Amino acid sequence: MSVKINSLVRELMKSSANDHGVIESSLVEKVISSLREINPPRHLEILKAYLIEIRKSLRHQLVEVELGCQPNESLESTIKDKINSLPSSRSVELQVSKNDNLIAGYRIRLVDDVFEDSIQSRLAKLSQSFTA
Amino acid sequence: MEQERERVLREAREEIASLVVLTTSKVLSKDLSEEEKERFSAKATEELNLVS
Repeated sequence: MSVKINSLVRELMKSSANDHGVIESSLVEKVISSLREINPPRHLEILKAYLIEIRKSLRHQLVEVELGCQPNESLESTIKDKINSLPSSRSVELQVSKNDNLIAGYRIRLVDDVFEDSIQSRLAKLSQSFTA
Repeated sequence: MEQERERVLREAREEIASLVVLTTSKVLSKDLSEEEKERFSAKATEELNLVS
């Protein structure tokens, strides 16, 4: 990919994020419609590169949280604080859902890592310790 | 003979362990109140360490 496209995509990414660095669908729509209007040369390449960058960013900003109990603000804010306290932290969006299989506790998917402390995971560890 | 005994014992141990865990899991999901589940989840999230 050319340097020109790279720098253009970087600019497009900046325009797709709000003041907190979070990608917003409304801003992405704006970027795409302005690209449509301008119809720059090699627009397909630009769009492909832009899509790749958007996907990368979304993967880093969306954190999947499963809870064994009914989700509530206090739990969400504790988790968000922990994520924000990471050295490489950036604004993240939590996608919280209830998972009855956990019984109680949490499972968090943060990019490529999964963090879990639930009754289910503790029982699984216990089961492994019996048979190890 | 001894190997066979070891194998049977190991299988029995695995079977019992999985039954105990399955039963415990069923009992807990039924018997824990929403408040208890919340309390466990809150304590677990407080102890969450994302750095290690």
